[in-house]
Order: sequence, then structure tokens, then C-alpha cells
Amino acid sequence: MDNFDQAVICSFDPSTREDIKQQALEYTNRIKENPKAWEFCLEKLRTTNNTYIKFFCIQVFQDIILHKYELLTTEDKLNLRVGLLKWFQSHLIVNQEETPIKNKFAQIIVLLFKQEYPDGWPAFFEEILSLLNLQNFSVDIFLRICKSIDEEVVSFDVHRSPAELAQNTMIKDKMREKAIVNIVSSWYEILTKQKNSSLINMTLQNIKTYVGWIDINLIVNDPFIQVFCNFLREKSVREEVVDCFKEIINKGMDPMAKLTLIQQLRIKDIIGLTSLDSSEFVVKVGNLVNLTGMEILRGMESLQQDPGRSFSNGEILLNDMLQILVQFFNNESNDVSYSVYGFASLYVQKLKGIKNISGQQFEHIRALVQIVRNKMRFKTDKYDDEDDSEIKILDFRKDLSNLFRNIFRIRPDLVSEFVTANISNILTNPGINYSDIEVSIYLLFQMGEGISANSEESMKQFEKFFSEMISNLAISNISQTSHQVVSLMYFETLVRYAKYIPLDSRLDAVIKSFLDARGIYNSDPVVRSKAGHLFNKLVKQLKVPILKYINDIIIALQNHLIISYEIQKVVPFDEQSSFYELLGFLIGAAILDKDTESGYIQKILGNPINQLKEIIDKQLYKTDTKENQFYSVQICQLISVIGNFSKGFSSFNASNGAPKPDSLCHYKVYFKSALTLIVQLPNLLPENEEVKFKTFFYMHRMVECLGKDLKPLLEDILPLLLSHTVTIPTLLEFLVFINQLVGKYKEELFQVINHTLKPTINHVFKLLNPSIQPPEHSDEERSINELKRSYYQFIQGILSNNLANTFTSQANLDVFEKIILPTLTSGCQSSNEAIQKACFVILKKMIDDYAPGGAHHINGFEQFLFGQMVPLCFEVPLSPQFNINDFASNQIILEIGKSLKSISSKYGDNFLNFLKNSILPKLNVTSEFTDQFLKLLLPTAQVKEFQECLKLFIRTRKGKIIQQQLNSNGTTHVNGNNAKSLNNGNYIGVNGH
Amino acid sequence: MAESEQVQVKLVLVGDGGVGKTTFVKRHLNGEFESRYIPTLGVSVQPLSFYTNFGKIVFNVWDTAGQEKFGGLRDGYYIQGQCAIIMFDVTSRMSYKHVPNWYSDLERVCENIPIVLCGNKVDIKDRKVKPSQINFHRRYNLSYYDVSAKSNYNFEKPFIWLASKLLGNKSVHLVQQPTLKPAEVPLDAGLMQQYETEVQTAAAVPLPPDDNEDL
Repeated sequence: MDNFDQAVICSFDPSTREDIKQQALEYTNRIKENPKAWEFCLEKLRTTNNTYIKFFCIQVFQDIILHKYELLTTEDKLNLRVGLLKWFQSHLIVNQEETPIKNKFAQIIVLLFKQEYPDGWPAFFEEILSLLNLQNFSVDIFLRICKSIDEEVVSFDVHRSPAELAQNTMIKDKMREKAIVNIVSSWYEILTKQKNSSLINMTLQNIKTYVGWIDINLIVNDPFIQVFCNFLREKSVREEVVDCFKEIINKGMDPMAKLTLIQQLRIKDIIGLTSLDSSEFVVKVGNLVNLTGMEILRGMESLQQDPGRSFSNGEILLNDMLQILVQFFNNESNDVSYSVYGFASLYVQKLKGIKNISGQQFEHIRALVQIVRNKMRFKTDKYDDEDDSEIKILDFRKDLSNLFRNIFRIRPDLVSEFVTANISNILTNPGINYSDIEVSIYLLFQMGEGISANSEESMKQFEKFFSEMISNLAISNISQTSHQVVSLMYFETLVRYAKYIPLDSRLDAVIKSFLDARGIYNSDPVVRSKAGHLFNKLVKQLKVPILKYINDIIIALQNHLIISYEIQKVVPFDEQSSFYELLGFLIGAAILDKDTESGYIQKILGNPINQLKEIIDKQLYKTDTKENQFYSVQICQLISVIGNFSKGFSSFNASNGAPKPDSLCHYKVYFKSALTLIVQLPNLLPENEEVKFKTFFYMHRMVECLGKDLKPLLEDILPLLLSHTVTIPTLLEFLVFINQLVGKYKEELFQVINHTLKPTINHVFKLLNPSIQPPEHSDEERSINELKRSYYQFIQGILSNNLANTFTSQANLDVFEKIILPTLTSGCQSSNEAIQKACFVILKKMIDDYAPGGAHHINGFEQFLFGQMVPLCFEVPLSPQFNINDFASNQIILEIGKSLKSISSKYGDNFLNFLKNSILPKLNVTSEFTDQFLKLLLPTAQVKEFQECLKLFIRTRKGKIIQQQLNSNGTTHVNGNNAKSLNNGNYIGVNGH
Repeated sequence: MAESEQVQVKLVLVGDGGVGKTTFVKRHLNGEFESRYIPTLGVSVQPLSFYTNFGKIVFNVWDTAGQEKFGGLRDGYYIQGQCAIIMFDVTSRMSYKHVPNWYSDLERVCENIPIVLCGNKVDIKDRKVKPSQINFHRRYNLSYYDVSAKSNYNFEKPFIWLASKLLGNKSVHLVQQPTLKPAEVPLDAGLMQQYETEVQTAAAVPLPPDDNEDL
């Protein structure tokens, strides 16, 4: 072993010492860099026995062929090729080599072939084929070379450049013309004379990948098909044969030719030849059945659209395949059944388009419905397929449900009859298996899912049916079946058909089943949780008929409402939270007298408010440690449930948004008392971000819940909240809250916003400019960008809600000049389109407000507008970064158009003259254009007309710049920016025509 | 557990630079081994142990970080690989486009080994490669998982699947959760639920003839 050998072996071995590896790598790199490395490696290849060394040598060839090939002389290129073929002949053919080496060798031979074929190496295939000898390993290598040609030249999976694709197409064309006949006949010879099944399989794999792009008749002919059929009986190779058939049928061709091919292949007989003894193989055959069936359907459909052509035996072919379909679809194994699902689904899809289906078609779907039911049913025996995971079964069930619903749409009568029979079977048959019960209810459930896609009318038609079914279920003993899947399906279905439940004792029965040991007190946590969730849904769906049960519901839920770790061991917090929400919803919706309402609310909120008070008064949260956050967590939970309960209450009318009279808002006192506790929390637990988020959540709720009563409190609350928003996420929350407030109270909030604006903006800029710049694409950078967007939304929110005068008040004027206006100009030039757009929207609002005639006219605005913003209205869309074909950018142009129109309407001739004398001349436009442009800015023209004109201008102008660059390209220096606009330009140019 | 019951497996971890391969393997805290990092070669071999119902399995993960560029030993590291993970970044379409190239390189050196495809960084809101667009794995019978190295989401899933394949399709589950570094980012449970549904829905859609066009 010499130094080179040792170096290579060391560098492949991760356990080598660091310093030695360093040396080894330096050594091997030196070898690689040597221009004669390939000669050395050819020599090495001949002498070494070590796999790693051989692999390394082949990698050296690979680097040369891919990256340095042009540096070789013609003679060297030839020597390299000859050397490799020599090794092939002297070593690979006679010795059993390891797989990575054989494949890697095949790869570099093909890379060389790609460099040279056809011109530089016209006899490539002749040379390789002449080496073939069935007695040695040449066949093995040949087949790997064929495979590698597929990978390097044909396969569309691998990502390639357009130039490479073009070259590949050229190679394929040449191969079709010159070589493929010989390649195929050597495959045939291998298949007929070889006994080794792994070589046969490799050959079949080659055929499978080539069949899509070579003349199909080379493969679909009697000798080949005969060989295939013989192989179908041999277990070791039959799977690949089936795949070959699949690829033959998959080949893209005219529908007529496709159907003729399928008929000629007699797939039905081929399937008859297979012995379906292992489920893995049956799945393969199933895939073939599936594809054949789908291709027949597709072929027949394309022919139908072409009245001049028809394929007379289409129906027979289809019926043959449908027979096989039924047999495979009903197979015990889900994998087999699933393999033909596509065909079944497409067939049913096609029937949907037919008005009156035939008797035979009816029989087909009748059979399919029964199979769908069989396959949906959960298996009860323990010896299920090992690889049938639960997710897979549920996925398959979803697919089957799709099919079922489609059949329902085709023949509702057939399906409702089928479901009625199933349901009555489980109701009258006491000893029936749970999985039969479950699947029957599941089918009923799925009918409803299907019908929602049907018309209103057909819905009406089934009202009676659903009502009858659901009533039967409600009064049956099914709810007593203590099996998880049954209970889940039962509750799910009750809610699905809630509106069909008769409002009498049957509704009593339904509600009772939810509230006792069958539902939210079930010993099975999954059922309990689901029942709670579904009960919430039921209440929201039915609403009015449930109101009379309020008291019963409160009593039943009372235990589940206690916020304590003991209770949460059984009823997790999120379930509790949903109960609070549903109770709030019920009490808020019911029209109750003051005492009853207060009584109910007291029962529900009394505890959590007291708990919160106790934690605060006794400072219990101070006992929390970093590891044990007992009280902090409880605080968050308490705020959550009070907030969730409040969702049922609003101090505004739902219909018109007008405030409700106080006589209808007695509930407010409870939420106010909670509010006084909650706003203390950020002060008490300043380190706890979660508590702050919850506080904001509660504040959002209170805007709706307390209405006008909240406003006077804001003067104190906002500064307090702001002082605790020290991180970006909490500050974002704060800005969202301000936006909600200004949207709700508008100009009434002048005082509050006037005081809050400056500290808020200062706060935003402190966090936007951290002392250390965050790295690109980091989370920190992302959150800073988010804050930027929020900042502009905040500015926009204030302007949109008639609070523009807060910017220009004595208190804030300096912020306006020093921060708000500069960020507006910089935002317009941002690389983020959302921010750009927001800024132009802001600009438009400012013009409306601050220009002469606006609600808050200010002097001096004109200078800012003309001096800075108007030029930007042209510079921004004309900048190279601005991609005019982008939807967002288009929106920006529309906004700019609006702003310019608006300026024109406010400043009239002043503005038009400014454009004419100062702006447009710089843009080098014709006088016709200037006239047209200014004309459209007059009040007589529509905004839309002007926007179109502006768009067209930007478009052609960008095109022109690009044209100029294209013309001057080659003579002048093209920098990065120019290159970018060049690309854009080409794109626009193509689109423009 | 006796040492003899250990199964040692060579796992090759590949994917474009920056998709998070190293971050992913470093989530697992082995306690018993020092991770060996070989910066010059850019390959780090990290033994990750999992305790399953079939005993202890040690995946020696060959993290080929830094090998994406020209040079180095590249596919040489795959020799004798027994299973593999191809990783891409769901916020980078390019990294998904390159998955077939990685697959083809792996297959050449290690024919027919079980391979898992993993889309990393699903915790980031700005997802570019949607579950419905991920179907490469279905053509070649790989398994696919959304993962998030930063939040430990689905960390163990690829390993369990590989273990199951290596043991001959047995139903494998962990008897002890691996010790992971604490999550650095909280995960939006609703969003993950939505992704899971989308992954399942995507699995039910028939494969388009060639689907890379829309990326």
C-alpha cells in the first residue's frame, strides 16, 4: 500500500485522527489538481483491490469529464476513453465487482458518452455491444450503462438546465435513429438466454424506462410478449414484467392507437395468467388493472369528443376491466383494494356526467356501494395487515367516502335504500358487532356530506329521510354501546343532522346523552373530549331551541368549569375553555331578566374572578419559580376563560352596529370587575410574556363587550400596556390593539391617541434598530420586518379613521416631521411590496386630509408633496427592482394613479405646471404624451383612464430602457442592476407581443 | 440492555446546503457519546440511539454538511450506507427541486436502501413548498415527513420509519422518547394540523404525469 492508498482510505474513514485526516486530504487534493491525474488513476484502477480507492479514481474521472474536459487534448480524451474501456474489458467483465463501483463506472462512461456522442464517438453502442458475452459480467455492466443513460439523458425527474435538455433531446433522436434497434435486440437475447433473475430484472427495468420514448413496436410484438407472458409465471421476475406492461400502457399516444394497443395486449388474459398468491404482487397487478381501466375510460372519452372516430370494442374492453375491478376492489387487503381505487373513482366520475345510466351501469355501482361499505368497516379481528397503520386506514376511508358520495349523487334512491337497510339492521339486531354499527352510522353521516354539494331542492327531498333516521338513532340504544368508535360516530352524526332532530322528547334525549356518562362524563377521555367539542357545535347550530335547557346545562357542566389541576387531570383546560365559551354564547343569546341573568353569570364567573383576586391579593404568584409556574399558568387560564365567556356578549347591535342601551347590558359589571384585576397583571408579572398576551386578548374582547364604557379607562390603560411591551411580539399586539380601537371609536379617540402616539412611535423605532443587526433570514430579521409592516398599518389606521390631526398636533408635530414623513418616503422605496403599497395608500390619505380643502389642511405640506413624493411616484415604478408583471406591483401603480389624480384635484394648475416643467422633461417624453398625460389628470377624466395611461407609460418606458441597454450591451459595462433589468425586459418584451 | 442487542446502522443524510441537516441531527442529545465533528472533510458522524420495542438501534448519521459544492468525497461517503434521509427546506423551492438529483446519487451507490424525504423548517410561516406539491416520494416509495428541527416537530418519525423498513416492515415504536434539546420556537398547533391534513389530502390525489413544472 503506497501513500496515495493510505491517504484515500484515511479520508474516507471518519474515525481517523483529525491531523492525519488533514494531511490525507491535502495529499489527495494535490493528486486531483494534477493535470495528469487521470493517467495516474487509470493505472491505480488496474492495480488496486480497494473499493474506496477505485471509487476515488472514478470520481477523479468524473470531475475531469464534467468540469475540465475541454482542457484535455484530443489525444488525451481518446486515451482516457480507451483506458476506461480497457479496464471494462480486462477487469469488470471477468471479476465480480461491488455495486457502487459498477454503477459509478457506468455513470462516467455515460458522462463521457454525453460529451462525445454522436460526433466524437459515433460507434459508442457498437463498441459496447461488441463486448457483450453471455458467459461473463459484461451483460451486467451493459445493463447498468443503459440505466445510467436513462438517468443522465432521459429522466425528467432530475433538474437540468435548458441547454442540457436540448443536448439530451439531440442524443435521444440519434439513438432512436441509429442504435435503439440493436439495444432492444440485445435485451431480447438476454431475456431469452439468461437464467440469472437479477439480470433479467435489470433488463426488464431498462425496457420499462425506455418504452416511453422508443418505437413501441420494438417491444409490443409477438416474440417479446411471449417472453413476458412466460416470465409472469416466475416469481422472481414477474413484478418487473407487470411494471413493463404498465409502462407500455402508460405510453403517450393517440386514443385510438391506445385502445387498439390495449385490445391487442389482451390485458384480461394476461391477468388470468398471473397467480395471485402474495399480496405484494397482487398490488402490482392491481396497479396494472387500475391504469388499464383508467386509460380505457380516458381513451373512450377523447374519442367521444371527436364525432368522426369511434372504437367499436371500447365497451367490451371496459366491461372486462370492470369485472376485474370488482374482484380486486373487494380484496381483503387494503393495499390491494386501494390499488384499483383510481379506476373505480374515475368510472363513477364518468357516470356522473350521464343523465340516465343503463341497467348494467346501475349493477356496477350497486356492487361498488356494497364494496365501499365492506372496505369502510373497521376490521375487528386482531390479525390485520401489519403495515396497515391507523392513518392509512383512515385515509383510505376518506377516499371511499368520496366514492360513496359520488355514487349517492348519481343514484340517491339506491344509496338511501342501502343506508336504510343498514341502519334498520343495527337497530333491530341486538347482538350485532360494533364495527357494523359504526360503519352504518358512518354511511348515514357521509350522505349528509355529499348532499351539501347538491342543490337546495334535493336537500328538501331528503329532509324527511334524515329526520326519520336521526330520530330512530336518538331513541335507540345505540348510545349505550360502550365502544369508542361507535360513540364518536354517534355524536358526530347527531350534530351533523342537528336541524332534523324533532324539538320534542327526542331533543331531550339527545341533550341528555351529551351531558351524562355517555358524553362529557364518559370514562373514555377521547369520547369525553369529542362530546364536549361537539356539544359546543350543537349549541351554536341549534341556538334557540337549546335556550330552555340553560339551567340544566349549567348544572351538568358546573364540575367541569373549576379551574384547578385536580379537575384538569380529567378535563383538560382547552375543553374547559370551550365550555365557558358555549355558556357565554347561550346566556348572551337568551333574553333573560336581570336577576336570572346575573344569577347565571355569577354561577359561572364568580369562581374564576375570585380566584384571580385571591392570587393577586395574596401575591401567590410570587411563590412561582422558573421550573414551577403554577400560579402564572393559572392566571393565564383564568383570563382565557373569562375572555372566552365574554365572546357571547356585545354592547352593540348585531344587525346595525349601534350601541345597545344600558338596560340590556347588565353583564358589564362582571367584566369590568375582571378588567380591574387583569390590567394590574403586566405590572405584577412584568417578566411574563404569556400574561401580557392574555391581557391583550382580554382587552380586545372588552372593546366589543364594554363598548363606550371602555373608552374613559383607556387614558390609564394604554400607557401602562405600552410600558410593558418591551419585545417585538408584545409590541405587535399593542399595535393591533390600537388599530382595533381607532377603528371602533374613530375621532372620539383624539385625546387618547394624541397622548399615545409619540411614545408608541419612539418605542417602535427603538425595537426596529437593535444594537446588533440580525443576520439575514434569521427569525430576528423576520420579526423586525413584521414590525415594520405593522408600523405602516398603524399609521394607515390612524389616517383612515379621521385622526390625521393627531399627527399635526402641537404634541406630535416633531415626530411627524422627523419620523413619520421620512419613513413614508423610505417605505415607498422599500423592497417589500406590501410596505410600498401601504405607503402609497398613506400618501393618498394624507393628500385628502392635509391638502387645501381637506379636513386638516396644513401649510407647508405642498413642499413635502412636490419636493419628495411626486418624484417618487415616478421613480419607484421605474426602478429596476420594480417588476411590473407582478400583481402586487400593479396594485402599487393603481395607488400611485389615485394619488396623482388626487393631488391634481387639490392643487390644480400649480401641480400640472410643476409636472410639465419639472418632472416630465426629465423623463424625456414627447410633447404629445405630456399633453395626453396632463389632460387625463384633469377632473374631467376618470381615475381609471389615468391609471391605464400611467401603467402603459411605465410599461413602455421600462421596455425602452431595456431596449437601450440591449443595444448598448457589449460595448458598455453591464453592472448587476442592468443585468437584472435585462431579464425583466426580456420578459416584458415577450409578454407585450 | 446488553450491548449485543444493539443494532448499528449507517444512515446518510443529504440535501442542499442550508436546509438544516446539521441542526436536525444536533437536536438529539445522546449523553453517552461525544459527537465527532470532522470539519476538514465536512462530514460529521453522529450516533443517534433510539430505544424501540425491538431493542436499541443506533443510527450512525453521516451528516454530509458542506459537501454540496464541487470537491470533497461527495457520494463516496454513501458507500455502505444502509438507509438515508434526503432533506429539503420548505421555504426554498430550489432545495425541493434538487431532491431528485440527491435521490439519483444515493441510488447509484446504495441500491434499494430505505430513504425518507423530510421537509424541514415547517415552523416558518412563510412556507413555499406546500404539502400538495410534495409528491416525489410517492413515485419511488419513499416516506415523507414535515419536520421542524427548531421545534422538534416529528423529529423521531423518519427514524422510526427507517427502523421499521430495516427490520423487515415490522411495526416499530419507541419505548423511550429520545432526549432532545428543548424547542427553540413554539409551533402553531393549528397550522401543523392543517399541514397534516394537507399531506394526507395530497397523498390521495393521483400523481400528475410530471409535476415539477408548477414549482
